[in-house]
Amino acid sequence: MRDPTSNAMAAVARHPLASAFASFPTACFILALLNDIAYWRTANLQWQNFAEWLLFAGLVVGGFVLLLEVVGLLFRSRVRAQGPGWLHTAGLLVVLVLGFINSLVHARDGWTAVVPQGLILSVAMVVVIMITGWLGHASVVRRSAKVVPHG
Amino acid sequence: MAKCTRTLRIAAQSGCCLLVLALAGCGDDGSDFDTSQQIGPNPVLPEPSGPLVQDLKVATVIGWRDGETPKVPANLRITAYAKDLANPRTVHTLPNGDVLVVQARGPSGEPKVRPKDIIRGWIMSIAHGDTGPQKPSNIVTLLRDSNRDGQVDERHDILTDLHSPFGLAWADDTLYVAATDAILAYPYALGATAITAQPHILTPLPGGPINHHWTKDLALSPDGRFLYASVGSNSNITENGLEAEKGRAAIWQVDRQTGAARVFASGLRNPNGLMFNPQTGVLWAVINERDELGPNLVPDYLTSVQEGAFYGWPWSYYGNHVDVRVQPPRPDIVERAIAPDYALSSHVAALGMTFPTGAALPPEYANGAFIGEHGSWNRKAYNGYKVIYVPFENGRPSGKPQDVVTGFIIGDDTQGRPVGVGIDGTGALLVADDAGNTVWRVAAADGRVSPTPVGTDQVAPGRAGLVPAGQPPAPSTRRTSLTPSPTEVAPAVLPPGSGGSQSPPPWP
Repeated sequence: MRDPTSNAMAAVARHPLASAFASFPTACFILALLNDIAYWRTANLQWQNFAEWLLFAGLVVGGFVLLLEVVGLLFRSRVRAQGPGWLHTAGLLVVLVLGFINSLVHARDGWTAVVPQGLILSVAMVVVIMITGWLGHASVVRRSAKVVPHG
Repeated sequence: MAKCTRTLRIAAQSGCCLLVLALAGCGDDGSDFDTSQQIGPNPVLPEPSGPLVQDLKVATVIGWRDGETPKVPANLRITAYAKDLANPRTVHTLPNGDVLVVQARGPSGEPKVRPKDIIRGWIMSIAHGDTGPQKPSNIVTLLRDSNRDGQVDERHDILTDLHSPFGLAWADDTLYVAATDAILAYPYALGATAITAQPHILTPLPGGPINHHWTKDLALSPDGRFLYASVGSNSNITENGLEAEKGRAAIWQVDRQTGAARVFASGLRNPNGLMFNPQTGVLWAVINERDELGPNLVPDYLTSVQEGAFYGWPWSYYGNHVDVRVQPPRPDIVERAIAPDYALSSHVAALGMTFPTGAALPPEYANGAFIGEHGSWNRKAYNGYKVIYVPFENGRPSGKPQDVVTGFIIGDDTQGRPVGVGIDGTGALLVADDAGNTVWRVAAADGRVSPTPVGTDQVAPGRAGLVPAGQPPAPSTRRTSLTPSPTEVAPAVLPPGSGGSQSPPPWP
């Protein structure tokens, strides 16, 4: 019988759709940070506009993933039993809250749409993404290591 | 596990703190600010504020029912001059007393570049009450009051299907129409009730595809030689790039014979209501200043327009108040910026101005300027939505303004929004109400009328003679002495010796 705890992938077990889209907001928000850096260095508006759309797309898809994950946590107890499930969801929530604030900052007109607050928020979002990812990974490795001798 | 829980908790708390801070930034709604501090030659300018959520409060347009009118003081009387128009924006009186009403809507098709553009378009459509099916607009309508009793006897649509027209001028059997992308010249003799001839383009004006501030107003110089055209900026504060601002935020001088055009004055974000002061012969205009620096910045203003002058936009406002949103900073240009004459307070959206030339109004309105204030939409406490009168002395504003036409706002609804103002052929004040689709006539309560009609364009007797047809026009002698407008000379490039254009901009 397939035991989800013995499968490393299960640590991030979610709705299959959530899995499919989970990396989308991450990619958007990392690219948004790169765009903000480019705008800060060049003052070329293309980067600001692009960052706005990336934040927007990341928020829309991220919100969808968050919804699926919350539903999964509430109604699928086996998933809930594992730490990294809710860890990932909580991390995503923080990133989306920061992303929403960042979108409002980016909607300003001119230089102060990005420098400094927009850029700082973009950095903060990517830092939270990294921390969540790293903690989730560490947890998976730990649990896998624990599970294997019994397997 | 405990460690990561703590990390997450800290992260969540930080997120919440930021959110609270963000919302706290929205507390200042401008309702406890005395706007009268910002009226006059020396306005109080608070520190700029950049809340995350910009104040946005647009009065819902509900229109006028039969018999309803705005309010005027006891010595005046207001009546509907023309109703059922399609967004009337400006009024222009011809020397024979006929009144031309320009009805217009902004050009469509401005590219949606940012998520914000889509949201803004939706808000503006509420502000203008045009959410349902629309009557055709972009029309010039002639209103004739044959017996000078203050009521329109004839109404003719003389031009239709124009491209977002706004300003008009008439001289030498020619009607000049400032469409949003060109000044058109139509052969038109006074008294005619139709125009069938094709226009010629006197000069193109900066138009689309962005065309953010699309209203182009016109005034005829007292010597009859030049037209002055207002060209508003292509953005709030250069968010469409400085390259989109070439020739914009300026008043152009256009030679009526040749169409040769140059920037007469610049740094004027959105100028409208162009008119020459009948006593001094100086050009005046009202200007809409920049948004998103808080509910009490930046005051819109009334100013004389000096030749070659630079009034700050986008780099600064009211002289040397630098706007940090514009990159790269240009202290060398800010140094040149001059302060305008008379502030009208923030976000009133002054769009029309007229001097009482040929008016038959009570004596307190003999020397001054009437200003149509379209009304605020990025400020929680409404400001504007009225017509005011600024008294003048010796050709300059002097003293506090008086409210002339009020009563547009009812709670959070508005029945109309004033735009252009003018004096009709009987000496009464006309007010174009683009949201209420009405032109209002404000006359002296005692019913007096002027002895003869006076046209909006005043050409002084003994004017500098126009060059007869077939001869080359005299060259403009002043042209070479002018410094070009700062937005015309590669403004995104830093001046030589400042570290080069490739160095990264600094942190603010």
